[in-house]
Amino acid sequence: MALRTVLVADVPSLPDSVYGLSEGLDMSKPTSFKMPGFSVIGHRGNGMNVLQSSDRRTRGFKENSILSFNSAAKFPIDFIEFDVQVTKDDFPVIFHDDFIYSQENGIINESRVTDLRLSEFLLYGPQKEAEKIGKTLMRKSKEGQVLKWDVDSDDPLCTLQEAFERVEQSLGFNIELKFDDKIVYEREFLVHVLRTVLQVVFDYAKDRPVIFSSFQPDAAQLVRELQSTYPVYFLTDAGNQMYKDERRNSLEEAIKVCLEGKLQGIVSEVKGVFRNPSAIAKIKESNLSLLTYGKLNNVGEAVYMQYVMGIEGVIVDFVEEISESVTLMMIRPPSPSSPLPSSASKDDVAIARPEFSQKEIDFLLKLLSQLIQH
Amino acid sequence: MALSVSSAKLSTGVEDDKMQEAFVFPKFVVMGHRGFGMNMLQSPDEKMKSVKENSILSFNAAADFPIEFVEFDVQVTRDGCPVIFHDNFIFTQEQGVIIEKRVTEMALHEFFSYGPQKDGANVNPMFRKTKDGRIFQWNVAKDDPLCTLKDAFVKVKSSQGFNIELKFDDNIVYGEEELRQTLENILKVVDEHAENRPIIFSSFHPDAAQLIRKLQISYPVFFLTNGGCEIYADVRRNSLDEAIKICKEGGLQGIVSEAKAILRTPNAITRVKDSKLSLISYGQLNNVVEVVYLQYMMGVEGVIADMVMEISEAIASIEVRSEEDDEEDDGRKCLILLGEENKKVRISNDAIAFLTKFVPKTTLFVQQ
Repeated sequence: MALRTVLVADVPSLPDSVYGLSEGLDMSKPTSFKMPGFSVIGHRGNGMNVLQSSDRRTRGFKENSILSFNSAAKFPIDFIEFDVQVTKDDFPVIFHDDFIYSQENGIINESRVTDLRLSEFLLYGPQKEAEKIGKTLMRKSKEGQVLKWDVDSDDPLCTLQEAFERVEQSLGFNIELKFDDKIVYEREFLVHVLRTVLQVVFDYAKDRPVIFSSFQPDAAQLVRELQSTYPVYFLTDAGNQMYKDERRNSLEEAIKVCLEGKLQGIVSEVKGVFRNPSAIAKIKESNLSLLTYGKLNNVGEAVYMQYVMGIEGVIVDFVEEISESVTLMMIRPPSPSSPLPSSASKDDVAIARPEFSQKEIDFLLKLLSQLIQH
Repeated sequence: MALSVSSAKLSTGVEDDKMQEAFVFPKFVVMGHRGFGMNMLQSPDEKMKSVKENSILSFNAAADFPIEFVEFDVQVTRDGCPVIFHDNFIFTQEQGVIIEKRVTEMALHEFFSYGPQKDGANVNPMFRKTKDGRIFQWNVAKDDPLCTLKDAFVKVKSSQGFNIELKFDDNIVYGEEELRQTLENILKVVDEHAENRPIIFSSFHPDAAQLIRKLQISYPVFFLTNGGCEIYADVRRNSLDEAIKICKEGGLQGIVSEAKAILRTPNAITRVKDSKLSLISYGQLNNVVEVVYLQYMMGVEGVIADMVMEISEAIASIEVRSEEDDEEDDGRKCLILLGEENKKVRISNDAIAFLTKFVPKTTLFVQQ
């Protein structure tokens, strides 16, 4: 595929209504971006898979698949999030882990996704053609166990292009640009990978809202240099783990990365925010948007607290439950496509959406930040 | 003193149903952990290394604050003398090597030879081993000699209550005879010197807790549990529900639980109260004012804390108001005002209900 520099002037102009902003993005100033209302974002579609968990919901739909994306689209959410890597022959595919595992004749095989060609990648897991049998897809857990990647509703691996073509058109995509945290990447290489992804986006996105995000600070800043059509967020785990690259280690560092690179916002691990609620004010003062991810976002009360604190959206695994409680809490008004559950009484709404004074909220936050640290 | 003599002492030789009378603290109690707070030598916080834990100095320092009890650990030396010390082993240095000696295998005079002496000398300084195996010199800002249980009765302000924890090694299986002998040694000192001082017994050892209740009914007995924060071979130690069973079987008065176990399952509080048992908590979380307020609001009856000054003052400034009294009532149910005058926070029933649902989910998610 020939490399084509994407000039700012070549970028197709998008209808102003894409983000509900009347002016679209003005490239001459550092552009701030606000999510339309409080957003619920489906993690890897309809939720990540946790194979060793006793909770069946984490083994429902195969994560990061067209089936998962379209089942999430049935709920009142604005975006789904998924991970994109680029194969050896320059095809952007959707897969979370750096390595992909299969089992043949009792032997476990491990391959780096970015070392595979597209045709090799697509051999893993269920196949599109009914008669074909793919390689048995396995997954390695954090603890090092390699398990069969069994889920209730499986689906073949897919490319970024397929996602644009086959997923419900009104559903926004939060495209996480995935890189190996342990590798130091050269700028040239990053530019090549990002341009490959951007080419697919510009060719196939049409009217679909898109947001880019990455944990890799240089990649995040680069994708902003290479295009200013779509907002870019910097992902951080806000200090839960320490990395060699200082820029990954705190919310304060994340703010710097955004300001230096003219990014639109931060996606932070949720505990990092609760541990450090004063960072929220700093983020807002810098005109940055704030979203969160993490297991705690599957708890309705934690989502409510974040809404109250001015966070603009949450990435969640339990899409059905959380989008329903967000509707119940009247955080989003019920609409014809997502009415209040008919079983909900006035009392249910009152309980789901307690009214707290500012002092009570401060107390709740102080309490929460202490509990999370212990 | 909050506890009157008659509530701390139940009449002796009375039938079973009188003994099952629920023991209730007249108000939310704060107890000083090992006196003025435990020592944590590996902590960067100077407050955790200020006064030697489990010492007369520490007990009297705590007595200056509005607390009802000091808690401390009692073990019995080889020659039958109850002494106050937390760890199973004393670490000391002999010819440049750190060695450990079991407290219950030494005679009293040897026990006394360790640490600072009454004349100020410190010939056999003590060391301490942390949970992760590191060894520190046991240095604190204000040191004090080791003491016996009798010393505490004689030298500590007489209005200060004692929560006497009967300390045993969690890894040893004790025979009934040995337990009985140990408890009788302790009770002898208590009977001789207690006078009007309020006293509570407590123990992590289920048999010891039940046995001390069989041996005496003058003083309330509490069963200590970490409620499942750690798992032991003896299942009776592994949950709040098991603790309730031990108390009911043994006619004990209440439970002292790790605060985390209570926060993880707040409905256990109702089960404890329905069993007519009292509930207090211990643990590092009790040094956080907001977490203590939360437990207060959830119905826990008291806390054992290290930060004696901060926590006793925080509890002293709680004001409970009912709907009718509250001038600022904006129509919401108002329950508790917390904090100093200019920083009062009104916590409504809605907020308490919200927290009761939310908190268990946070402590679950902390270990990710």
